[in-house]
Amino acid sequence: MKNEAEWAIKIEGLAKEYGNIKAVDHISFKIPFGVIFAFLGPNGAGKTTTVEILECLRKPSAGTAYVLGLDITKDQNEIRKRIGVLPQEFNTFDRLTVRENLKYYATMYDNPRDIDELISSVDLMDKVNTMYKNLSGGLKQRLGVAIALVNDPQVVFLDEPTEGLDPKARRDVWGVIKKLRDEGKTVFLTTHYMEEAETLADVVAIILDGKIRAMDTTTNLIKNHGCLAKLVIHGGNTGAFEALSVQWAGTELNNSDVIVPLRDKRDLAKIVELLDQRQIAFDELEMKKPSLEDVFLDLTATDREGVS
Amino acid sequence: MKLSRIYIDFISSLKIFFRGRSSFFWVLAFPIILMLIFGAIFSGGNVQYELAVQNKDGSDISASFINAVNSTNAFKVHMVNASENADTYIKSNRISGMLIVPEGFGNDVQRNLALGASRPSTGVQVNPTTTSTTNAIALNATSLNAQASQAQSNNTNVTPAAVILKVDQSSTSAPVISGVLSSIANGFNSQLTGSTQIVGVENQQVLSSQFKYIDFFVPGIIGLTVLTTGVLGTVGTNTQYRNNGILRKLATTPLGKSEWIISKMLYQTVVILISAFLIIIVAKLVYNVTAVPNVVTLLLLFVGTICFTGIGMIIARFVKDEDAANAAASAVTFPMLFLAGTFIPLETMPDYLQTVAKFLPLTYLNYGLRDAMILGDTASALYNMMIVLIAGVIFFVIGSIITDWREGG
Ligand SMILES: Nc1ncnc2c1ncn2[C@@H]1O[C@H](COP(=O)(O)OP(=O)(O)OP(=O)(O)O)[C@@H](O)[C@H]1O
Ligand SMILES: [Mg+2]
Repeated sequence: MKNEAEWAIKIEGLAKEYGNIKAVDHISFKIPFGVIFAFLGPNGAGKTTTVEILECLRKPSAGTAYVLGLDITKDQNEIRKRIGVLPQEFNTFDRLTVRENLKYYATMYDNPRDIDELISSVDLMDKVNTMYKNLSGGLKQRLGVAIALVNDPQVVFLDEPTEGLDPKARRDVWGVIKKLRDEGKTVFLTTHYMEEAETLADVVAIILDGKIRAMDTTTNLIKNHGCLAKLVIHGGNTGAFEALSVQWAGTELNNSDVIVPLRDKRDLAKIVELLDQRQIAFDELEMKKPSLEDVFLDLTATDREGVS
Repeated sequence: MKLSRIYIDFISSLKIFFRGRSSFFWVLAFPIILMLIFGAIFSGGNVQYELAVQNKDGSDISASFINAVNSTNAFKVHMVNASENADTYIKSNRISGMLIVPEGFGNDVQRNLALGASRPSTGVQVNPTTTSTTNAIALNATSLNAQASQAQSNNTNVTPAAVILKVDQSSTSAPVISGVLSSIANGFNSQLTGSTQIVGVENQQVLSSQFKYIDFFVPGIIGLTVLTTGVLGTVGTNTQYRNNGILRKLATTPLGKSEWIISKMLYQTVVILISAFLIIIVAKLVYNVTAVPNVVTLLLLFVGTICFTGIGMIIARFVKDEDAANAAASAVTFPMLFLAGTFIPLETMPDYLQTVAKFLPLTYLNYGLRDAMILGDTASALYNMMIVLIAGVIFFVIGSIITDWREGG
């Protein structure tokens, strides 16, 4: 049994260069079957480039990649039959209806799924005869996900599936994605929303400037890179900021709120004491749970320190 | 290659076409509107062109040439006294065209025949009238008859017997008048030569007694449809689908590039057939032009589609921005429309433009369509079709190969 086939996706030393730009800079990772994998990174980090290499749309400059044990440079036809893709800024035929669009893509494959079943799984039953151009952004994305599932793929690539959606529409799309895990599919999800990765993903990889900076289960990542908690001093203003930023690295002033990352169990007591001593006024205190965002900020902060 | 994939893309393309009101309108209605406008400008219903004719030669031959002109429905002929000064006459009578049969015309023709020129070469010489164009667009002694000019160059002893047409080059009727006259000269030539008499007489009949601008124009308008639908349509779909990401999505499915290209070509062919059908119906109803589409016509439309779809794919490959691509497509199609004799007969254009026209596939498509639909000359139509087919296969193969869906094809 080939080692490659044990993993849904296996990448080794993968690189893609555009002139001087290293869009993807020798990355390696493996994704097991049946997980939701979030590929998290800011704009221009190299997410789409990586995904499109796996989808056999672009050719790598170096390295190897296997999708479902199939070599992306040799077994492209087989890969295309077995993956589902929601491209970034997904678009389909404006003047075809929801059903016609699904029917179109279903015909591309040998054993497509039942179209009505798909439509109901993304909750588009009352829109079957609506033209694509007349759907709202959230419904368009849901149709895009349904189209990505039309061949009952083992691996589904979703490139920024909730980009530009309002919170309600975003949650609806999340609902659809969560169902995929229950169906046993492997989902490769690309996003720059920490919250999205945190809500959906079993495993997260953070990519910055074409390099993987961290990869682990979501819980482990937060534990290892984040702080214990964040203290928000509402109405603390510059007074609190100046007093605290000396001692607590990463303290931020956000409008009138001061946000302090707590790394030590005794930090909270110290801060309250200091505020009291210096008689610094504030409105109220709030504790926040750390999130992937903090992991992310932690990683980018070390980057900046490295540079200076 | 799977038929089901080609079929669904083909059917979907047609649905999309018919549902898009504006594209639907522009593709189908625009050529018809254009035909009606040009038809109105050039033929103006039953109005004939006024043509002054001055016969300075008393021979039988000149009389029979003038007879031929007279028998054409296209002209209302005014005979002008031989002693009259032509320029003065044109000015004082505000006339747009004057045909002068010079002294010795009959002798020249006889001499040429005796010299055994393969063609007796009666040419029409176009002289711009001095009215608006003083810096005369040097058209003098342009023989409008390609065959005649060939005879000229082959046999230096032969000076063509020329009739002179004085015409205001800036007027819209000028190309029609000179076009019709050159056809008459052409037919006259054929009639005089024994060798090609049968074809010549037949041609002369069609051309000189029934040839009207609109007859010439209807196949041209169909050629226009093939050209614009093929080039603009292909460039439009390719750049639009590439820029809005649909091609990228399709490239992740098993749909093959060749399946997509075949489907799109079939779709273009159907749109062109519908358009040609509508043009023919309207031409019959409005102008009573009987343009009979036969099998050769259908073949011509099909090879034309292959050719212009190919050109469209090549443009779309190199100009990726949607607006720029459409501009590039227009830059290719519009000059080609004019240069290939869609609106005015090629024979009335300066030599160097006629040379350019020889390199344009649309020229042969236009010739072929005229041969097939108006003149009923199947052999010539097939010959022109072969030229379009060869050009078409070359463009189509290149276009198909370089069309890029993914990196590295
Ligand atoms: N075809 C290309 N030609 C040149 N440079 C490219 C090309 N594609 C991507 N790049 C560059 O590679 C880098 C990574 O781009 P990529 O699209 O993969 O980022 P991304 O993480 O998907 O960003 P976003 O969140 O904006 O979608 C960027 O600097 C981008 O400008
Ligand atoms: Mg991207």
